Amino acid sequence: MAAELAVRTSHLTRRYGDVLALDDLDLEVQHGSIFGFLGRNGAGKTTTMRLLTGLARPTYGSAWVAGCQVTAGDGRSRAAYGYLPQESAFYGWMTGREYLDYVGGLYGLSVGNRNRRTDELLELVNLKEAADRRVQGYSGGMKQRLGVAQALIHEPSVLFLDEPTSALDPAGRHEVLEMISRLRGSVTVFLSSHIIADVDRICDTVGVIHKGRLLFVLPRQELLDRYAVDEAVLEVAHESADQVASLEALIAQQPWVERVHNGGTELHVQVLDMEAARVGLLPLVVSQGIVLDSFRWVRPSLEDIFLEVSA
Amino acid sequence: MALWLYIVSILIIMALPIAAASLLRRRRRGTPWYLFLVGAATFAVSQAVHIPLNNWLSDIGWLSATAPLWQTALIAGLTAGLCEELARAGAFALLKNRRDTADGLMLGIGHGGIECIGLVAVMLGSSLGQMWSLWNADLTTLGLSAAQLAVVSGQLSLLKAQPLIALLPALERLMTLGIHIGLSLLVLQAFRQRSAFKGAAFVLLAVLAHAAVDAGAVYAAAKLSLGWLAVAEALLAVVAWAIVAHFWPRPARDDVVPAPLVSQRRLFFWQLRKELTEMWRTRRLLVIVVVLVLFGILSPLMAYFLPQILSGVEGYEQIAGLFADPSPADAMSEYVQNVTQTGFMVIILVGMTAVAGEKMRGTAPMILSKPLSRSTFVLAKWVAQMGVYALGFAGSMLCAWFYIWQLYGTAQFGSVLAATGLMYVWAMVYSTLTLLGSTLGKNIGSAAGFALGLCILVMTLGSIPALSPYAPGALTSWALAIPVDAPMPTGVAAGGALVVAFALMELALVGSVAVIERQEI
Repeated sequence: MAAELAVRTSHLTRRYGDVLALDDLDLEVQHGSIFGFLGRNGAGKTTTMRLLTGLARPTYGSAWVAGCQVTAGDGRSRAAYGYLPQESAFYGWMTGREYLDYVGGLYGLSVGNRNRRTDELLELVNLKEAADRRVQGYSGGMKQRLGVAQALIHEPSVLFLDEPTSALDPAGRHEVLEMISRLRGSVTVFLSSHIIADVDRICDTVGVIHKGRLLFVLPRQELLDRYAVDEAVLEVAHESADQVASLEALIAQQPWVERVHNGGTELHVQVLDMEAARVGLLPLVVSQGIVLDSFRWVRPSLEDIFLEVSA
Repeated sequence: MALWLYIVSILIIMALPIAAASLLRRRRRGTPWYLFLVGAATFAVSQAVHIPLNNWLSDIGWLSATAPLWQTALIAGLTAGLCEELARAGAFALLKNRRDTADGLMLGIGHGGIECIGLVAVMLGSSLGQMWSLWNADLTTLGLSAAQLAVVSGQLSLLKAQPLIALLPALERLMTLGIHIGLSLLVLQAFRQRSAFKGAAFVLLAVLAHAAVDAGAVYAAAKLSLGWLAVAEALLAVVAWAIVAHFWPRPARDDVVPAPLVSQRRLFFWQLRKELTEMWRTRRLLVIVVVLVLFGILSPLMAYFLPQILSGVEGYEQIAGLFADPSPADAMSEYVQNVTQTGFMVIILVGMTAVAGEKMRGTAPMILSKPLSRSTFVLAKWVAQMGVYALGFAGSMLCAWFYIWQLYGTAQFGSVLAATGLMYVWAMVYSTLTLLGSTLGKNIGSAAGFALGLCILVMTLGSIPALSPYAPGALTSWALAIPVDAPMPTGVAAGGALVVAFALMELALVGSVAVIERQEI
């Protein structure tokens, strides 16, 4: 059962004294997806990560990664995943190449495999030129990319990334997100973040956690559809401006329309039946010979949804 | 031969509990090391009551040499059973979530283990020291009474004639450890019962079983010949371990699907390489070796030239005249004092960052989320420190020997080697305690506090007259007592202290592993 999923938790709970950091988390993440674990600071994202990677012990409940129970205190399960903590730290006296080689050794890779993977990953994370420089001289972005590389050294099926972009400048964020996107399909990425734009950009499934409780897990598109407002916006072109009033009246007569709001050259149409509106609205405009500058269905952003559900 | 077998016996006794606990953890990885320490604590607590109780019973005449054997056996057995089994029951009552059979096994190993390491091995070490001194000595020159002479010479003759007797303590401990584990399982069973009456019955059963075994031991020691005693111990050991084997966990059949296992032995050497490279690149290795080598060079020089230096300083000529002519013993004394005073600070400063530094910098979570086990992480650090200090002490010893020989014209290599070896063991005790402090601390400041606190605790306990012959400090006194200009004497003055030093290292290491396993990194 658990082996079919990349990550599964069952009633996972962690209490620190009186504080319930994680409350009865039941979560399933499919293989090959990029899962965005979204929550405000202190919502329980890092606690979940630490429980999934064996750095913390649950007060109650269990968790499996790639079929291995990670909450049983058995270190053997750690080969199943790669992990980049929120505050990645390295041995500054090592070079980037030496660090990757060292981590490869911790996963029991042979010398040949370590050399091959080190070269591949240095290429992937764009650190080939800095490979033989000591890590203590790396920038924040370079360290974060090295962090992703070390998590991938043993070709894990699951990759945990805890706030991988939070300490980076826009260019560094772009680089890291691009790199994670390239992993789609080959590795299951479990990415925790409070930066909605990052999750929106690369994740195909989103889970939102708030005050230790998981609010929902949905494919990104389904989430956007679920919270979509059934409203169309028609921006009438200048040459058809005198026909706006007649178009408003015509649309308002349709049985699938709830309300029409006239904003000058913009008509906001709220509909009762989305399917009927999708079929009927544009032909109605065309039949009147009205020219539009733009037409769009109003979609809420992930940020709007997040702020709404975690308010 | 017999004396070497005695050493083998001590090594077996010290290794047995750790080996049993390690094997248990190989089978049931989730069984924490702290249960070993809890088991050890139950033994210590039980003895805090048991010893005064037996003393009181002796005072009122119930446990006296003149009492009938059956009475002594019964009372001694019952007091041991009551104190130890109730202490075990107390531990299980506090450990409400530890009801697995493996938990009972680990607690039993700890309970019997501390008796092996902290009591029996130390007593044997002390005896070994005395026997080593007396082995080839002319006993008639020691001023012993006729009765004492008869006992000592009789024991030495028996050991020389039948050297295998030296292995009997190891056999006895094998048996006892098995029995302790079995008794822990009986007490655990009490806490698995729904009915309080049944639970109490299991505790009572454990008390009676313990009393029966101890009473039997008292009888056997008084009535059986050594040969039959060995046979009885072997038979009981087989029975006890057969019972333990019956309850030993089978391979897990739950839904844990282990990923390919990376050998911890292989990871140990990989991690050790990293530790040594780190010590080299961060110059810590250099600092340790240079400081110790400087002690080796400067101590003989200071002892030799100090009177001359003072005589050359205006106003100090008379003070210089108070100094006797410097001797190799002065050089050795200076050397031992420098190493044990300034060297101690180096040990604390270098060791306190070992684990706490990694936690503070954030490198620990990066590494400990990988297949490297926490015990391997700690063990590699300890071995790396042991290795680096061994290198430093070796360099220091060579320099000290060379300069004493050059300046004073005489220095026995074996004597300087033995004295430095003792200081090395002394240093490693404090290095291991510092590692425990570093593991306990969340940052370098608290690690330093824990490390200093532990070291001061051991030093303070060692200053109590009754304990001082067994304290690590006795090793440095022993080092000072070795004549540097005469062949290495065969007498082992502080065998007990040597065993205590290794026991402290063993327990501090187990403590470090138990602590880091419990910590959230």
